[in-house]
Amino acid sequence: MSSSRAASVEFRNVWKRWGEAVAVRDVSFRIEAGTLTTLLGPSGCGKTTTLRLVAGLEIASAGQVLIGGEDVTRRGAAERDVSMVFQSYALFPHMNVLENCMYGPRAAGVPRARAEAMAREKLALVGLAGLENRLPSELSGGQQQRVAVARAIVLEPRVLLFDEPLSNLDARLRRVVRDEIRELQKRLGLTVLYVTHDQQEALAVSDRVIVMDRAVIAQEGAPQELYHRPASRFLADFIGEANLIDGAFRTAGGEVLFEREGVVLALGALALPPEARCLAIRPDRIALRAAAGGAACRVARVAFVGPSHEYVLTAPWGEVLVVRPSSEPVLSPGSAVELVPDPGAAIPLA
Amino acid sequence: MRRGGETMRAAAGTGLRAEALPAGLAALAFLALPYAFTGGASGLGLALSGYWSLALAALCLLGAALAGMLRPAQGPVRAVLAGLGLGALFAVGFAEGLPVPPWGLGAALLAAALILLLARGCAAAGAFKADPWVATVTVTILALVLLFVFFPVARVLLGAFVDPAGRPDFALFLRRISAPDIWSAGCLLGTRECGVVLNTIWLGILTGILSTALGLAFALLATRGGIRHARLFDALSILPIITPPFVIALALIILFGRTGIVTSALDGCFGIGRSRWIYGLPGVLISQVLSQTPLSYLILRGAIRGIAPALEEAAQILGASRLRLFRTVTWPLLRPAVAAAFLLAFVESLSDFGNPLVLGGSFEVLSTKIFFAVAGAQHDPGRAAVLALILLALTLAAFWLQTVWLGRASYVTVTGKGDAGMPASLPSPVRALALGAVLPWLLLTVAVYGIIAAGGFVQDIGRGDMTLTWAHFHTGFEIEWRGQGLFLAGSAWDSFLVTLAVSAIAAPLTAAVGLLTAYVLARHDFAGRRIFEFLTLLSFAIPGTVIGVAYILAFNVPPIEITGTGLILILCFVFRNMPVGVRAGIAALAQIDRSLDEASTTLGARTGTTVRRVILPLLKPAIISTLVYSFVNAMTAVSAIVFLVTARFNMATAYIVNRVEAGEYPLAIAYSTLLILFMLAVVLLIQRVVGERKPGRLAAAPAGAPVTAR
Repeated sequence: MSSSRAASVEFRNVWKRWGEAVAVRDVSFRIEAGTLTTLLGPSGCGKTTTLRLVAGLEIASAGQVLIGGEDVTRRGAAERDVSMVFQSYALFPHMNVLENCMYGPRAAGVPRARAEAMAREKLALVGLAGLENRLPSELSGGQQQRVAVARAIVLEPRVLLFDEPLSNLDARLRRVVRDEIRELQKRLGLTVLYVTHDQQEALAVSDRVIVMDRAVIAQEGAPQELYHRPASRFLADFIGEANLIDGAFRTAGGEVLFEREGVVLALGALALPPEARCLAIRPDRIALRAAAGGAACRVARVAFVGPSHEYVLTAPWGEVLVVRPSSEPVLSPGSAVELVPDPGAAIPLA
Repeated sequence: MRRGGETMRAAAGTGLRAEALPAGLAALAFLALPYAFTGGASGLGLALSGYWSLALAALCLLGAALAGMLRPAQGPVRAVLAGLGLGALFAVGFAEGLPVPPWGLGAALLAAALILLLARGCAAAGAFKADPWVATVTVTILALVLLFVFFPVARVLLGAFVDPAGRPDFALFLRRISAPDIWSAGCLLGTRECGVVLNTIWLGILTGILSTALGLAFALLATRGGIRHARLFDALSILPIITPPFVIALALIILFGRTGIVTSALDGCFGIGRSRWIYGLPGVLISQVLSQTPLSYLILRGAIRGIAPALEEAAQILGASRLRLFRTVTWPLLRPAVAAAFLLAFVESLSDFGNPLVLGGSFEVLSTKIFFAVAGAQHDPGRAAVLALILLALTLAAFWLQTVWLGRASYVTVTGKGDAGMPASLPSPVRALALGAVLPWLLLTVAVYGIIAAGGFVQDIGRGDMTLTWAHFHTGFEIEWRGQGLFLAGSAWDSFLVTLAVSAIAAPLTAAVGLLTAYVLARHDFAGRRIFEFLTLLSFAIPGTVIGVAYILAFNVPPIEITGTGLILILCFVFRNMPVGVRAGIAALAQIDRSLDEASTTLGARTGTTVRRVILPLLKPAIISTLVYSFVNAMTAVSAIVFLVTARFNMATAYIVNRVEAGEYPLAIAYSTLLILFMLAVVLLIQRVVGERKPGRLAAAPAGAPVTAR
């Protein structure tokens, strides 16, 4: 049941300035119709502004915004055929659930009976049949969120936008709603652009992720690609945790070796970029081996967090974070250890 | 693409309708309706008889409308054409050197059509973020404010610089403004009487200090004093708002005048001689403090409630005694509100006209001196203009002081989170002091309102004749049966009905203009927004007397000649009370998250639909408070309208003032009683009808309307 109305979104060299400040700097990307793309980044990176530029709530200072191949750069939000689920849900407090969902069709001039049928259909789709006459204030947070989604999809928009939709829900509910949104998107074949600052959420729901940092796109790609092949220190650290260690790479007999202040790590076979100066490695991709007292690394602290032990080690250059399954025997603080990276797991960066 | 096509067609349709409507109205007005207020020829007729600038205006209008329909993208051309048309319309008569015809229905419709076309042209040129709705609302309000606030005030200021024949004369201005009766400080030296400026400022400072101190005492007792019937204070605080200002002065005369009840009793029992002490500074001061104290109470009570108990508890835990706690925590937190209350009372005192008129005696203040310069035997509008200039400078200075002074020092201690805790109770010395101030004052208030309540029903309360009688209501509000039907024979009916009509028409207009302005200011950003804001709030700082003089000077000559009509009364109230609506609206909109507007927009609603279906329903509390305020204010205001009333369009307050001047106190009091009761009933009714269905979440939210008093 793919929606024929779902449209692609394209940015061509889009800028957004507020006086001197630049919120979006020369951003270009393309989102295919019927896919879910996340805009991910730390707060203030320009991701919400980018979303609002798609919605038409902000108008680009320069560049072009295309929806379904059509230039909509100068069109206001009411003329773009795009819907949005707001962080605060923005449900109209003086209207009940049904009236909220009928708002879009009624504003478009759809007759009342038809508008009501459309609203009821989408409310049933999000599992809210029977709550039509409640006021938003009489609903739980999760229910309000679903009303916001139902209201946004009643008109079958060409693009559906989500602005941090899970931030007002508790942790348990987040996973459920997250999966529901993904399910709905697939079922209706919607084009969805989704803003979040939570990298796990982004990895879990997306076909593609666009990571923004300081008003520009830092990297875009499939979730696995971003996690396994981050393009920069910022990305390696932002998506998942990573130890970032500056040092020297060299190749010896088909194996890459990394050296920093006398500590040499064998990394296995790796494609080495020409200017590699920094080693990024995930905390769970380093094994620990008890070593003689003279070893350069020691366990400083260890914390038990259920499925794993989290070790903080002191190395000559500073601290190293290592996460090991709690099924392994625990090493006590003060023990001298040797670091053994999983072969091929290291990420060399410029 | 289904909806896309519909949207496109809809947009084209609205474009055509939006241009066709003003163009059609304008054509009708130009061809068929009399152009002038006095009737006579249509615009076309006048244009053919030599008023060529009118023909130019019509051509510009036609051009702008046609361009809007055929070449909608030509925004700048459309705007310039419409602007030229407006200019030509204002120049009608002046440009030709012919008698200027006063604007009537035909001219007004032409102007309205040109303003609409100008707004749509500006939007098409990209102004107002290309939103035609915002452009239309903003340009219309701006045009009205320029015409009915800025123009008259500018006219007053200019009036100070011209001689009676209308020629600029700066030397005359200097002579006028340096007159000794304005600036003299003789009373300080004990030689002569003081000038009117010093009198006015002195009165304002005294009123400010006394009413703030009393208001603070009331507020402290009500919130911290452990008084069981503190709600009574709240009820009492409504009274001055619905009491015409001079009624209190009248009651004071009856109590303390030469033949007053208290004076006679003191004379009889203790042999204290009769005197006229109440006429002059003491009387005006007492009556102003009586009417201002409740407003200070409301402001300060809000501030005291706003102090988070946790702050005081923290101080107590740190070991502060109650007196020390009050001195080091409570008082510093209250200081900004105290300053606000003082400044408000000061400005109110400067603008007050009714009390000094009735009680002033030989003690002159600016507002009464302005009145006598216009209405008195000397009739000198130039002098009135100079005095108005000084008064305006004083109030503007006070408002400026308020923003400079209070802009920095505002402690918001209550956050959105629930702040539990018990407020500290008053230390006993403070409590005793407050009670000592409040109790005599309560007694006086009760006496004053007792006089008002009883005065209408007895023969002559002023002379102590307490025989019960309906005669006064009979005189004022008699209804006779005369053959063909009921006949309103009482002498007060005319003014009462005019007041009713003017207030009932002005209130919804005030709410509409004020709240739309608030919406535009709070939600939309456009070039010139700050100037727009300044102009819409300008009339807040202008004393009623100044507005009255300004309206007379500006609107008794063509092209806008409306002096002596009911229209000028309505316009006066709408633009005088509009800032109340603006403030209430901005405060209420601050509580409504912007994402609601945005949600509406992304669901495909245009700005007009968003305002109608989302914003206005959520603004209901602000709408009610603006309606109530502007209705009540229109019924009780004196200062501006004494200049504007005529025999045909008399207002209740002006009628009552005349009765007071003629010494007919009982009739004046009877009428006032009726007004007060009527307003109470209307206020309750409006709250009942408009406020019936409150949306769930908002019911808990504060009404959003600030304490607005003027």
